Amino acid sequence: MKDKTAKPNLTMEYEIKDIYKIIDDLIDTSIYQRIFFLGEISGGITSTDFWCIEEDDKISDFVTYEEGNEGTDDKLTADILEMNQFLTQKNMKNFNQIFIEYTFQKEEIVANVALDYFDWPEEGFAMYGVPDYYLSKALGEKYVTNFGMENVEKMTKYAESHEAETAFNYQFKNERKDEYEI
Amino acid sequence: MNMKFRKVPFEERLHEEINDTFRFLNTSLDLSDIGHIFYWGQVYGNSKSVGYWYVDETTKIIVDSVNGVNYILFRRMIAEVSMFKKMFSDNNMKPYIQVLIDFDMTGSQVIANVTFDSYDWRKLDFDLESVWDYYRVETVGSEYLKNGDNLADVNKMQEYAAEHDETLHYQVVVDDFRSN
Repeated sequence: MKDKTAKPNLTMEYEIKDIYKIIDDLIDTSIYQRIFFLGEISGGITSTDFWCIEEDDKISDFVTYEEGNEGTDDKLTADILEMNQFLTQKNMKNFNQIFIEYTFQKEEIVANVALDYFDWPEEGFAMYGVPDYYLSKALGEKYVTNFGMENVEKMTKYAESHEAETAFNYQFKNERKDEYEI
Repeated sequence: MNMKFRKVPFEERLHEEINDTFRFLNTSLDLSDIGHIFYWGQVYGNSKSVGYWYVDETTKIIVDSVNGVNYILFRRMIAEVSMFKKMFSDNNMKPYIQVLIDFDMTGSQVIANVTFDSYDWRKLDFDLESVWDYYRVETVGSEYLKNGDNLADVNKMQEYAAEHDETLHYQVVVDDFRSN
């Protein structure tokens, strides 16, 4: 008989897969080319965000405070906090930002993960401009909307002269849901 | 630019969220010698409350989340009331106010007995402490009542509930877990 209360093995890979699953529970990810997730734990505040890129480079942004989205934000937040908890248990440094790019192959989803250790607010950068930095690194200038490229350039300069990010890839099976009809 | 939000059928989403709820409770708490663990949530507009409790069979005391839980567990518990709220609105159902999940671990499988209700206890002038006690008494009986003063209120609430059925009941079999 299986142990009813057997606990799942929590690892970084489990969380990365879970973050994708949380997003895929909310939106139909099958129409998108790439999905970017940004989790921030800086200045004592946590923040989660994700963007979906369509074939023609159209971008959609997840709005945390919109009706119906709070549960997703709570789940994503719990996951990134748990990742740092896991790193602590392994005597590894906690990240301030985690930036994941999910791309879709036929059978697999590839996650490119970057962890960094920049406490942007602590270093005097506005929280509002943080997503721009990550999006412009991943997609280029045209997606910079908030504080503009000048701020991104300052952040880039800062990043270059400080601790390097940790990057790794993870691949997992594409278990996409079928679209439901209500 | 709008995202393509899914609208998932009620039973499907309920099954997923019940499984998620058990998974995180099981990860955070030692449930190995427990018969039932209860998850409770309440949502009034933007105001959300959550909690859990279970009876320790050896000491016969109730263990609950009243004095606080670790932050990660708290965020996961709070997520569920919002997920359920969305589940109701996606399926054009009248909003619920309270949710109570009884995870029954006494058999070979974990069975979740889920009750959503729309009792507006605030409007009926019952404070949160009495509400908390009402659901506890409903699940584990009045012997575990922390504050005996609330028993009169709890009885009034029970009378009200008996006369007005504002509940929805579901049963979900929780998936077996294995270490991955």
